[in-house]
Amino acid sequence: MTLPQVSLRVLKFFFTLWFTVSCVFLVSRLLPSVNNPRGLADADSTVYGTSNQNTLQKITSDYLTRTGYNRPLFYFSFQLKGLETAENIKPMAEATRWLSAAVLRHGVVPSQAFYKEWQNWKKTAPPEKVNQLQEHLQRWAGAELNEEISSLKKMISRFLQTTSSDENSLSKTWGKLISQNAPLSYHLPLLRWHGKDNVYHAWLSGLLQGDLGTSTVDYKPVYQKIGSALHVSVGLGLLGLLPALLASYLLGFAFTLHPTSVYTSVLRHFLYFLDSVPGFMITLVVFGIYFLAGGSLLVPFSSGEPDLLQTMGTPPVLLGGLCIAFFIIPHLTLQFYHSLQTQSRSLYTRTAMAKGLSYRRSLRVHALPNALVPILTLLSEVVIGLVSGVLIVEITFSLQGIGSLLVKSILSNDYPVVVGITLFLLVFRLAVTTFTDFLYLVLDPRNQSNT
Amino acid sequence: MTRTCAKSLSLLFIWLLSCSSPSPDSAVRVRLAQDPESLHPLSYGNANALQIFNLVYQSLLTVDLKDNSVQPLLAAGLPQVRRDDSLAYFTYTIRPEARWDNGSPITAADVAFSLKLLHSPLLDNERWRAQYHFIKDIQVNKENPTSFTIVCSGYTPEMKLMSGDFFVFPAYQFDPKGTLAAVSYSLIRQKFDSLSQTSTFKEFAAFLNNPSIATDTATIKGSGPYQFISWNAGQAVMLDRKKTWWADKVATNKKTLIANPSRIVFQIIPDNAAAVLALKARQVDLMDNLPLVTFQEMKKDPAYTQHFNFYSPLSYDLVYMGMNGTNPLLKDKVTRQALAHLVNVPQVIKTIQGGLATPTVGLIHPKEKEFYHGSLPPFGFDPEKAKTLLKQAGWQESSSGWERNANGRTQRLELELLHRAGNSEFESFALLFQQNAKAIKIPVTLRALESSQISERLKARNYDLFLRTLVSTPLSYNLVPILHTSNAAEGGSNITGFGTPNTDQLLEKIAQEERTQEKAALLKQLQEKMQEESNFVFLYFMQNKLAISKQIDSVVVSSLKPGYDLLRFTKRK
Amino acid sequence: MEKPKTPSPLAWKEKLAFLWLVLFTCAAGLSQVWISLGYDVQAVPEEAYRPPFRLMQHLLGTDQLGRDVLLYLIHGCRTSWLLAFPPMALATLVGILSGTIAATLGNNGLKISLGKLFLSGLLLLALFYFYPLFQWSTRQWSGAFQFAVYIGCALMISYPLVKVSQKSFFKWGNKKVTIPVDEGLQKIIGIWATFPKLLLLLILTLFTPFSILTLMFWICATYWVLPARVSRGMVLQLQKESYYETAQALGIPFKRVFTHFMWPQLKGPLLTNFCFAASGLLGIGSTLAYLGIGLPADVPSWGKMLANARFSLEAWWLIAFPSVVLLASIFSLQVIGHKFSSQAKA
Repeated sequence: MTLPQVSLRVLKFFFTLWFTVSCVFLVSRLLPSVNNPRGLADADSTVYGTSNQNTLQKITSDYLTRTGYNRPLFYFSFQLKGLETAENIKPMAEATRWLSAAVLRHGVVPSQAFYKEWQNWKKTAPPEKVNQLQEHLQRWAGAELNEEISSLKKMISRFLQTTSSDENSLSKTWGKLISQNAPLSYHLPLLRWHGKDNVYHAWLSGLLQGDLGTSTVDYKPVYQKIGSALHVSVGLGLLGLLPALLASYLLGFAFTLHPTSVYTSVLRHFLYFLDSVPGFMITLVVFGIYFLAGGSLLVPFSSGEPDLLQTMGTPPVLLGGLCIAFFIIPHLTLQFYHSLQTQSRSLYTRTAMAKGLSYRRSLRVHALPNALVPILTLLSEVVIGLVSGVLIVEITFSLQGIGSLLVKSILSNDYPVVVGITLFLLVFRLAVTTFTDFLYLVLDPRNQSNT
Repeated sequence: MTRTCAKSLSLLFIWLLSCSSPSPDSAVRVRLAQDPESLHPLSYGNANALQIFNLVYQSLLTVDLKDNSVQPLLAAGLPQVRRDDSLAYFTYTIRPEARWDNGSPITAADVAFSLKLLHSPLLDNERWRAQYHFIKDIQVNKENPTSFTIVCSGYTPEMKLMSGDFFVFPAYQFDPKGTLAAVSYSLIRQKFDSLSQTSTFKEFAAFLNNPSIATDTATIKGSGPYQFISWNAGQAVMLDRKKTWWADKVATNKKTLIANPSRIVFQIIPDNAAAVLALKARQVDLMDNLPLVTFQEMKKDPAYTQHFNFYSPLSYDLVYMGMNGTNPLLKDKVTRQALAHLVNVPQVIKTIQGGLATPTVGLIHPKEKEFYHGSLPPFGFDPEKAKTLLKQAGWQESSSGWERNANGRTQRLELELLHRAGNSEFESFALLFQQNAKAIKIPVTLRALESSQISERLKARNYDLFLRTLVSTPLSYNLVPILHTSNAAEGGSNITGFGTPNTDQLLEKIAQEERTQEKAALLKQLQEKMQEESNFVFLYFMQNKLAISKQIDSVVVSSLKPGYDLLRFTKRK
Repeated sequence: MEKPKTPSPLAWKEKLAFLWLVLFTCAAGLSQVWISLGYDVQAVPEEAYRPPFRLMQHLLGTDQLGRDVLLYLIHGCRTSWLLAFPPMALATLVGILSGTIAATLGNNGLKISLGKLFLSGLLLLALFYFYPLFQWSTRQWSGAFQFAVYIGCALMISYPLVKVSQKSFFKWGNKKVTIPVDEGLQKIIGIWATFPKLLLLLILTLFTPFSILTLMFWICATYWVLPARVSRGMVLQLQKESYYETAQALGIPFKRVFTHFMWPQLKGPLLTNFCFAASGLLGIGSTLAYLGIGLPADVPSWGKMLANARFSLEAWWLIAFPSVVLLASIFSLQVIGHKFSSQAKA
């Protein structure tokens, strides 16, 4: 490959990376309660220590300022022209909704007049009247159907007329308001440019400087969190994969050597059966047997970060590895057996046998390399799947691997970790597929004979 | 070759079994359903983290889990209260024996530091800023460094506990540079915005928002009886009793200064089925919130009763169905009452809770005899009554359901019930309610959502019905935040839109009232009103389902969180 | 050593599997009929935990809410069927379409003149720009109807416009740009395949309210990848063969080439994949229900029954029957999948 080709590929890869991660980031900012301070979301589910509305609102707005989430999400946004005009009046929080509806429906001048009159009236009017009017106005703003809007309009007019005489100016401005129509141009969207001061820009510039950020839960740098989760996932994966590889190699070979044996047929059927059992059933059965036999999940306490071998030696990881082995052995064995069988029927194996090699030897020397090639792709998929976590195993054995970390981070709105994991998985996938392609080049006997 | 493979697999399994035998040590092992996630003093993860915190840090006052009474912990006694028109003064003295781990005494300066920490800018302390908003100032006694006065705005009886219910942190450890000591408490509250711009505070925030503060077991040290030994994320947390703890020398008022277990291990097992297996294998000494079926089965089985004691203490967790009073469909109370008549509480308690729940008419626990309105009859399950009520509210029965005309638009009575996903009790209740509603032609859609999604929709008042747990308490009857109409708008905690001018007055009076009899009368009035308004349909107070090993003596179970008093446990070998 | 293979008659295993699947589908259909008649599983709490084979009206016993297990399982068939077959069929269709298009167009197949591209972009922008105005002026209509009318009108106006603009007025407008369809698809597949299916489904379902329809949609969105890959690979391989070139030389339209030459070849692997993926889906559907995610409370599902019953072996029938039904369904699909795969190879 030439240099421009390579750089084009790298460029394309980085484009994919940027695009995916940006999407993940933007979507994660749309998650519910992402704009709530931690712990305040459920403030209404306890009697003790709850504060009143004004305090809560003030604290939430302080939080948004502190974190910078009160800025716009992206470089630009669209807004209806009417709504922007309404925003320029800068109404109080409680009036925002019905005022923007008024501006959109009836134009800015009468709306502003009504709003002013309403502010004056509010100072002197009895609070329950204010509340009633507020409720009516909110419903009027929220109504969608024509008949509903006009009947609510009439209701508000009646309400304003029946309240005492000195409020007649309010009633008059209301009448003026509903008699006019807003220009149609109010319903055209406007592009609003926010410039660099937005959440996305701040995040992206941090990312470009190599700063993945810190977890919002425990302030750990994201790479460290992913690192320790990866530790578990890799331990688990290796413990599952290596025995599974060995077992499928041996089993596949044995099946091909003794295709008519009773053992083969029984084992093959068992593997077919195992292949179809859902993962959570296997996991629970393994777990139950282990406990009933008196096993324990207690992890020996260690000081400091345990190394990979130590992690792999703990009972939960060992058990998890066993379950994973059960998950992948059937598929791997059956595929390997199948591929070996096809090769053993081929002409060159027969030629080799004709030359005097034993069946076993001809299989090992000639059929095996060819049979391994299709297994490689399968294997790369398995590896990619393992590193992103076998969720059901992680949940049952309470292991903090990549999969459960991802789910937990989404649930706790820990978006730096979510983005970090996505990035890692994409890069890892690329690495594995590139490596597999390379292995193909090296291992495929057809390629070897050419060189 | 097949055989070798099988052999190696079975060998692996046998090795697995052999390398882990139950260790007969003196540690008390408790099952936790969740990792504490973060042990940061300000933004700790969840209720489990709080439970661990209670072993490591101490507050001025505490609630004795044995009899639900307020007791002094770090303070030498209950506070002295003084009131003037708008302020209340709570004067505390710290026990003279109280010491940090480095031997220095715990003083009023540490308390002041802890309070400042709760209100400092740039920190993840929003929750505490909201909760301790009422603390206006702290005045340190110049002559006695262990005495100080907390100044609170307004007065409610709950402040006798709340003014001393925050953890006291060692200032020397969390603020070695003395950043907060240089600024007074009232200044921090007044100049919140401008202080957040200063470099000293930025530096302090960077120091405190640091993973070592949140997860490093070496820095998590307080005046409590236990110290951290290790925390394997997602697996287990281990704490050891301090060899020399200051309270060992205390002679008087020792009621709450107990710490019996020499080692406590919290075993984190999120999956309930896995936890039950661990309990049955006696890998844990204590498990709470057992699944109902398991609880009933284990209680019957002699194989388990010889090793475990089973408890079902009352709790203050109240399960209720909320209705959106701001929704046009449910605006008038008659419609809400009609729906309340579709809930069959006795049946729900019998089938879903196995009888282990206490029915209630209001948000006061029936156990609180003087406050609970025992003579108020509950609504009861009555579909015919519900139909008459619906007709009374202007609904007309048609072949497909209920309709009425409102403001030129035909309303149809179709409702959506929100509940938390994955909670099987809520699911079962939702199913039964849906079935009852369907019988009188009210279609109800069930929506299982993540709890953050539910909070979001409740906050935006974008819902019809929801199921939730309200953590009530016998220690506080300040219900203004969750029931007063001034908190009914978006952002406030009154999510059901409950309230009339009448109930508002009642709530304000209740919050102020200290005399038991008057308070009881007011609370009973409130319970009547709440039943009439029916924004809340109270189902039951839950009962905890606990299994505790028989190796543990002097067991104390409690109706308050976490449901048992670990510190009083002693374990036989 | 090798015998010439003839399509073997169905073994007893396969017959059984077919029979089971037919029964499964019938049960799903029956449940659908019942539901449309308003005949749901009734919870009668007084009848909870009846053991099986004692009472005629509860042949397989009842669960913790007193629902009849047999009825529940039949309704569970409908859920499983809906979650396995329609989304998988749609996913396969999407996969075939995208895979075939990507393979036939390749990286250089799709060329669009710059002028047309520019015009369509402009039209799209205008479409977006005027929608709120349209929405306001037709506010008495319902939302879906509004949208449909708008899209319809827009298509009627813009299609002739784009069609007519064969020759652009500007020189640059006639320049053609190639769109690398194949590479685009490969990239999307790459991103999609980065996450395991269960994890992806779990995350996606958290974004929408739980219901059968949304879950079906997400399954479809997750499972189209493999069929797309298979059909892309097959079509690429077939294109190299001589009959394809002959057909092209003869000027036979692609549609005919596809239906007459490619589809028979594609059918085998796709059917195999369909069976295996559907059997996997049954497993994943029950795993999701087991984790308490994806389905609302009033939708019966085998996994949910297992999840509720897993704490106790005393009510063994709540574990045994759903497990048997689940495993039998998965197993029959696998058996049939193997049948297809061996047929395709023969």
